[in-house]
Amino acid sequence: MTIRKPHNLVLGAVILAAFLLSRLPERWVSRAEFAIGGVYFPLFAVVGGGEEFAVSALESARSKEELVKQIASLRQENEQLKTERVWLEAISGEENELRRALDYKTRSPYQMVYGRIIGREPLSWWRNLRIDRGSVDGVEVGYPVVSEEGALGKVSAVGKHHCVVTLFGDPTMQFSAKIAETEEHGFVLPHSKGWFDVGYVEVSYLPPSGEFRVGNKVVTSGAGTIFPPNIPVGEVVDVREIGFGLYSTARVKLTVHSGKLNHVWIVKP
Amino acid sequence: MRIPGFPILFLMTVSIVLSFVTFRYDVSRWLLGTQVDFLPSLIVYISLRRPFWEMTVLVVGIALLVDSLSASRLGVSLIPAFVVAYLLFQRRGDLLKNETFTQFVVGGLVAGVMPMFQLMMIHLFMPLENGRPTIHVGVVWSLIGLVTMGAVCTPLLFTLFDRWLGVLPDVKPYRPLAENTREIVRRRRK
Repeated sequence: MTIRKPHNLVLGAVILAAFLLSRLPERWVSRAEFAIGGVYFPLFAVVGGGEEFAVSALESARSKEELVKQIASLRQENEQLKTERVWLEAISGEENELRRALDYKTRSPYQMVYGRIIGREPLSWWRNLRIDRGSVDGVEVGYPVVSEEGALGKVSAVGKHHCVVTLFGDPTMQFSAKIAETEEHGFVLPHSKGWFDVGYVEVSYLPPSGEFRVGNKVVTSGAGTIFPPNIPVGEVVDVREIGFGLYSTARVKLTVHSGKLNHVWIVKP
Repeated sequence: MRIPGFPILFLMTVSIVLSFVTFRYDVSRWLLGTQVDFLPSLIVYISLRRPFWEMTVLVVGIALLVDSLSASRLGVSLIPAFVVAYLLFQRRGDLLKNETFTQFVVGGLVAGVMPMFQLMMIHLFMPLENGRPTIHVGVVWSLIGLVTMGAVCTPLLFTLFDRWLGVLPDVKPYRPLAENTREIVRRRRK
């Protein structure tokens, strides 16, 4: 093996650079990551444009009769949602009146920001998404992210036009949840065998002789600072006791299959 | 005609496109529980075929680009990628690098070693608040997938890139020194 001095110097320089990068403040590193990631912007634009073109081409290929049927169905759904919204606003107003009477802080309605998924984590041991909404859209770190079916994660880093969403099951994603049917509270942790079952998490520290059963729904408890209460998280698949009956842990199948999603909603509190 | 600087531009563009595809389309992880990673195969090709300065620029660039897309801290892939590339570069004279079998084995080995090295770097260098990936039995499945992908992709990349970059294997085909010159001709004297 012939080792040359300049080669060794380069190796040393690269190791030193990596070490210095690891010591930089988080804020700087995050900015540098978004700046380097800017190399991919043209690809995002090209692929995004191509996908939109393909969708619109497919839409235009539909027959007039089919489109009329679809419009009628959407109109009906819209009417239904509008009615539901009026009903929910009435309930929310009533709740706020009661809160005021009890001297509690009133709740303001959440504002939702639509985001398109533009990328997914390339490494096995993290779980996150990147979406096309950033600080210019008013997105901030810690905002919850939901889909039509339920909650799926929170915003963990924000660039100018993009943000990173950490999903349930990521090692950094831990939050409070409860069993909807029994109101028993627990803590959502990544599934300990999660590399096989990417669609599962664990709800730990549940009461050892709890009333919850397989098939019960798990929802956000609202006890933490991230998620509003009662957003669906998943369904209990099996339960086991930990530490000789000290507490129980339930394996939960997530409601939202993030691999199938194209878009999400960021909840602005 | 060879355009100066073309290989480095070509390889960097291919790296960007491949890492983008891995990032954008995550079908394999939902189907097989493991991701497709072209980075090890690219590193094997670059370190066995390109000159040292080109290898340095490409490997550092690719590592930083991959980190910018991942939740791993920027620079975590730098040491694993560069050390592996450096060791291969130093040993490339000893390896039968034009043999498909060698490319298959080296590709598989690098694809297995690099994620383990990366995990080690995350545990050593990433601050605790960023979270640590848990290591358990599932790692084995993920590794099997990565090693298989690395082993299969590396000879493919060698074939394609050698053709596109006009790289000729530095082993000349066997040709006898002289034809029929040493043959003893036996025939009757007239």
